[in-house]
Amino acid sequence: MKRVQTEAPPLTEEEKDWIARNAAAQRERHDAIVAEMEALTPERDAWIDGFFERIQTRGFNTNCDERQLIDKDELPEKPDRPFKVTF
Amino acid sequence: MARPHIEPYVELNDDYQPFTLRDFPAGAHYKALSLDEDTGACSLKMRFDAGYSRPPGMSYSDAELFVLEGRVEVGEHTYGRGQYFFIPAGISMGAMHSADGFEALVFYNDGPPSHLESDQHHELALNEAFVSTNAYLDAPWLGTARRNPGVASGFAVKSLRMNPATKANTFLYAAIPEFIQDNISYHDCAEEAYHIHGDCSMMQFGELPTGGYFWRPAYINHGCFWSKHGCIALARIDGELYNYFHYNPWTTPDENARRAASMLYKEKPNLVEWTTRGGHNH
Repeated sequence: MKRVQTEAPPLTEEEKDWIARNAAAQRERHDAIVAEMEALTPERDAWIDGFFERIQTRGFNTNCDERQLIDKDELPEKPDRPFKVTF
Repeated sequence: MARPHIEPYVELNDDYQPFTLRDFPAGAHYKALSLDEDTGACSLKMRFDAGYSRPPGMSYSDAELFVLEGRVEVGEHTYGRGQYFFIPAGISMGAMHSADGFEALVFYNDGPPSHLESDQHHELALNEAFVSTNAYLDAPWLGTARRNPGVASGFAVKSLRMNPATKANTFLYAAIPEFIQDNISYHDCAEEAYHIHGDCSMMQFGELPTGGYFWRPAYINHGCFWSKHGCIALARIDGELYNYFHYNPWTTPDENARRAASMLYKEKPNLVEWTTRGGHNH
């Protein structure tokens, strides 16, 4: 099906340059975020501990406000690999 | 690649840049929140100076505009905070003028920003898909799950526009103060959001404050969730959103995608077999 989008003229050099400049800035931003997220590891580890504590005592939200208690032996073990949150 | 994972990004710390692309009049400024590096499709926060004027025109891309602050006249009507437009490619928007200036979130879904001066719609424009609504005044909050499993009480959404074919959706979400939801979630769709006001925290990324933004590709863990003071945000998804809830913070997107596929296989084995078979011809 023909669409307006398929009728668009080829990108101009100005548009290609605009995309390239913003893509480069975005890659820099992404790298900075990855570093910030790495620096957040101690706080995140504490949040994970708190989450595990709550799902054992108050429960894990399975659907809306329905909660299911999780036994200690059901908790996942941290795998032996680098842990990333921003990909 | 399309768009990288940008999460979290707080744009308030960055300066606006002049928006000088061809055919756009002077007096506009932008911050790129995220960008598809292949197509130029982008999510922008924009500021339009007092006295800004733009002649009527169309874009070759579907576009969305959400007014954050200020007022803008489009044609004969004046719009303020919370105004949302979905402007299909080829739809001519009336002349735009803002006496005092305004700020908006602006999305170009198919390519870089484009503006072709015209007071006529393109012959292929999908006129009936145009949406104009005030998100704060005109749409109801939905406090219950659109599809189970749903989010905890204290979290509500307002749908502003949905693509009936792909289920791509633009919506507001809001959390009450002291909202908490103890699970980790991921989805089959990409998701992005801009925090208009307030805070919401996730165990992976910490606090997303006012001015916080994310573009999150599919299958990335987020949660558990908590909000100290409450929040309201504009969000978009590029497909149907299903909440895969779990409690393992260390799974990877690949593992999550395989779990999602295996759940689909369990529920609909014939559909999975069909989708993975080549040579469809009917």
